[in-house]
Amino acid sequence: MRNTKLSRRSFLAALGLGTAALWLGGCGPAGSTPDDAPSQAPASSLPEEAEAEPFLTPEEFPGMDGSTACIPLIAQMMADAAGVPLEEAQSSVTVSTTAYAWENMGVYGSSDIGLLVVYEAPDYVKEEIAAAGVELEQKAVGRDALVFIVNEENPVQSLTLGQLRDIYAGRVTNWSEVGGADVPIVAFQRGEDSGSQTLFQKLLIGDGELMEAPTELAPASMGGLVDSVAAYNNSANAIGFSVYYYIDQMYSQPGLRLLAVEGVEPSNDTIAAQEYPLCNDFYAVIRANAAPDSPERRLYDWLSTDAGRACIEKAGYVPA
Amino acid sequence: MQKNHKVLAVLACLALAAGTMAGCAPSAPPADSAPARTEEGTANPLNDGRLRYLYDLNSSGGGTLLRGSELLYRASPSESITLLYAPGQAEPAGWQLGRNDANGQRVTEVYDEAGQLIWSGSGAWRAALAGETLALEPGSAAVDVGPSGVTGCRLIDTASGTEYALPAETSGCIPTGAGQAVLTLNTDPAAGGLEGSSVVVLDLASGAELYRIDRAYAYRAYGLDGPSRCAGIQRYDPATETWYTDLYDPDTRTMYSRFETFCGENLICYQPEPGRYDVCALGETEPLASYDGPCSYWREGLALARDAEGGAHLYRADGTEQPLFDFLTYSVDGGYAAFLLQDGSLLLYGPDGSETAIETGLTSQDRVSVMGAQGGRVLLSVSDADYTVTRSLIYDASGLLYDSDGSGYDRLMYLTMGPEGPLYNATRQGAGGGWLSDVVDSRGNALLTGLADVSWGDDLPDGVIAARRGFERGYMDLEGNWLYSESVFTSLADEDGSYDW
Repeated sequence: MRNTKLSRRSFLAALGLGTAALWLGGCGPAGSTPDDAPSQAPASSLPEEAEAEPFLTPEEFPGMDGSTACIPLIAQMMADAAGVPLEEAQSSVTVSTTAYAWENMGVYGSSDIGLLVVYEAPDYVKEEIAAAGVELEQKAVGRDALVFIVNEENPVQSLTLGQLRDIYAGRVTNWSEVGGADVPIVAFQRGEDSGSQTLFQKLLIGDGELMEAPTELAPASMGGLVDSVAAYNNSANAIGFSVYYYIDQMYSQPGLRLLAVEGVEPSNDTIAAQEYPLCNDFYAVIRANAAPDSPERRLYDWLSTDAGRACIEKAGYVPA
Repeated sequence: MQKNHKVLAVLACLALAAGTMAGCAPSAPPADSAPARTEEGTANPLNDGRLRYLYDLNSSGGGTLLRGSELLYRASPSESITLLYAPGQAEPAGWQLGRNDANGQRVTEVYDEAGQLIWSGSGAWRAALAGETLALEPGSAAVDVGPSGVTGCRLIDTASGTEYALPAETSGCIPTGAGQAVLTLNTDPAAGGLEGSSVVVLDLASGAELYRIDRAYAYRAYGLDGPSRCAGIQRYDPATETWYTDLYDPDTRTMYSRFETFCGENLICYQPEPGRYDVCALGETEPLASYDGPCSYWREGLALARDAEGGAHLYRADGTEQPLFDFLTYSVDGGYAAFLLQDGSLLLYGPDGSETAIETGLTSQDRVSVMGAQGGRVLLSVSDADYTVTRSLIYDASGLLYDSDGSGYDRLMYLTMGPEGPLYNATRQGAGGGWLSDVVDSRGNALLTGLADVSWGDDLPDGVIAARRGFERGYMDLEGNWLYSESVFTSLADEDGSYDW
């Protein structure tokens, strides 16, 4: 795999050009439009009697960790399985994010964590877990998708997988090459540890060519500055990616638009039907030696019941 | 559109700064931010005009800048916002923004209290304001870096835009007000020691050196209520191999040798000669009292000082002295002061000078901290041998009001004043081991439950707290109404850092 490097200077110069283009082209006032509103989760297909009665006490509820995009599901599980008021559950859930969650259970053996709800681990973490010799048991509980985001003023509506690969390989560098304005493309990536970057590598790039991620100076602890992967900034010429659930249900800023891929718009329906081409499961994970009557095993098993699937749907996710 | 507005606003600022130095505070609230949701006709207590900063949950940068409940700016993770506190001033005098320019280079912008851009320049700088004097130290360190600071400090008169000429080896620059600055000059910063490091007190108008002290470096001195107008000067005595501090008071141009601590409002304790510790008002040298050891609290008729062996004693107006329970078992808040004595009795002093003794039953087997005395309610925290807090106790002049034993609360911390007295952040473990906070009164009655990240930051008005509830966070009143709120999911770099959100 060959990296096509985009220096921070050229990346930011291109960003500035894109921003200027937006200025010249005019931009609407801040504020959400009806199109910005998160889409409604599809109505549950499960019978109402599938609603769960709590079967764990709050004290029994196991320590959980996972991906940021799984926070609402973890809170809903806490509410349904342990009877905790949903808002209180939402207040109390913290996660250490995808890579660290896997490491906490599979590498560091954190005894505080009994169950993960998490997106796929980066390859380097999978190797760490294999080396640690910790046997984990996992199953798919939901399905999400890698989605690409642009500024809502960007006229490009859809890209093919090939076009996306060309953009991220640095072979296509101007939006006019894919039906957009004559401005350079600034293709943002994500940190190596993020669940989105893992899906991006797995579902889109594979063994193909990937240019180096643009970087920027960012504050570190105690006021220092570090060179880090530049965060998507929604400038006029930007393209970035995340997972569908986070953008659709959690992230609250207006001005974004999701691109269709191969002409298919991401939605709960197209993800459930796997019509959208970049879908991937997310997982529940426990230690393989978790006792049959342990709270984490009972919760893990419950996720596969009608009540568990109802919980997943209630939180707005697509059950696997 | 917010991100675009932000970038455009920054570009606009740059243009203005380049042309006219006129100010420009980026604005345009994000759609997820919500100012006051108070009933019609009800004043939002958050609208006190004070600058506040809500730190970012996901990164070391980012965060939200507010004035009252008005959102001024939301920073991206690559940007940093720092409130600037002027010496002797309780409220922020402005803020600084660190960001990247179009070439990827760092830019620093300094805004005054009103939001006017008063300086911008290339590079990362640590700004400090005192009146119309802006000090800029190179680098982005969050704290004074001591004798190893990078040279190249700058001092600017913001009224005229004039830059003061400073020696090239200036590595530290503290504007003190009163037309002065305390500089650290370092001819060999890489050495990291005091050789080659000197402190100079400069009169800005005349350029005259008021003091020069070799083998020393200066730092900002903090009084009981925040940054003081004084500068601390760290020194080292090679003969005795001891470090000590001098304190410079710019208002009277007095240098106090071997400063110990601030021990009351405008009061300091210093050591004018070996074995003697004087308490005096800042600007004076006539002692109000003298002790054999450092005095950490003093008011007329009451003092807390150490003896020659280091034991802490309470000295009372009647001439008696009593040993303290432990080193720091006291707390002072406004006119109230509370001291836990070695015999387990708690002495509570009121603003009117009244003294009440309360028997607590605590013994030397207990590990106790006095956590606060707000409103005359004294919060004690009792720990086991592993320093794990086992219970919290609240007393007032009538005796014990609350014992958290058996409540499920891990610990209590003072939060804010309610209409009927102080309120506390009571933390407990929720399902799955997550931490939750309840807001309780001094009898343990819960006013609000199921919150997280509860704090009393940026000198919020009484009855206002910072908190997270569900997936919202911000400032709320004691009925749980948001006075300002925003989503906790504001970043698309949500998983890009190593953090707990």
